[in-house]
Amino acid sequence: MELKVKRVPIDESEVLEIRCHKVTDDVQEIISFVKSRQGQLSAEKDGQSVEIPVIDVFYAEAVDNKVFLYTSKDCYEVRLKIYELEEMMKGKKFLRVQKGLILNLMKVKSIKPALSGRYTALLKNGEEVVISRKYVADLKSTLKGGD
Amino acid sequence: MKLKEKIGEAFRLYFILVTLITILLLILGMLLDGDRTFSYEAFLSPLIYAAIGVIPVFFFNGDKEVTMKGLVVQRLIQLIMVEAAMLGIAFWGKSIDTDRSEVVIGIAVGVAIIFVLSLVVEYLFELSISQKLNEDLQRFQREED
Repeated sequence: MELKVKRVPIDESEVLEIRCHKVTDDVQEIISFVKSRQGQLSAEKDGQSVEIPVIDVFYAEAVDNKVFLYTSKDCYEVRLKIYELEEMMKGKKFLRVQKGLILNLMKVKSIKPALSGRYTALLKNGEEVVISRKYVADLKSTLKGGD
Repeated sequence: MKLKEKIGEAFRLYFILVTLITILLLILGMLLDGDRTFSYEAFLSPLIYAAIGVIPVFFFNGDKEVTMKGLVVQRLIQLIMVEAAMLGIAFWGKSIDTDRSEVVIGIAVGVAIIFVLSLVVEYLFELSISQKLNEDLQRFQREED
């Protein structure tokens, strides 16, 4: 695919146009990335495409090669790999807390011990998510203001 | 878990166990064999028993995530290993009279109590860490809002 970047005057609105023969998975990935940069994620629920504001996502989890977004009450499937989603969510208060789970730190109500160096994050919707021992150091660093 | 982290955890557990084993020896000794006197070598016992007690740390803290049920099973296996090692060393070294069954029961129960207490101490450590995490979390959320 050829890539073109054209500068436009300040009074003209910025447009990102993708011209393709077919909306493939790669194209869909680019669309998802752009939308995530604008604070939206493209997802599916019951075969319908929906846009989810990133700030509404509590956590994202990979289950059997599929990735699901969990909001306060709903669950949506997103056509991305968990590492791609993690990359997109960088700088958006999301942190990987399990091998296949990315957590929105803004949706965590409190944290309590879960034995053996693990912790449980109690979310604002009442759900609980386990923080693996392996990712506790990252959590401490992020909460203290590190990356 | 990396070897460095395992060694760190083993050290932390070691000192908890030394303290708890010393208390156990004091209580068991007073109850079962109060008149007996020892040389200074007796101070080595808690150090040796605690060293045995931390061995499972190197076998059971892999990177693989376990469920809560798996964790409980792991801990039970650890307890059985530690019980077997402690009793084995105690009788093998002939440091106690094997004819007195209450001594065997005392050691077995004592080891189990220490095992549970070490988990309680570990939980208290983690509780204090979680309190700090909660403070940092609230600050993080205030700053990011």
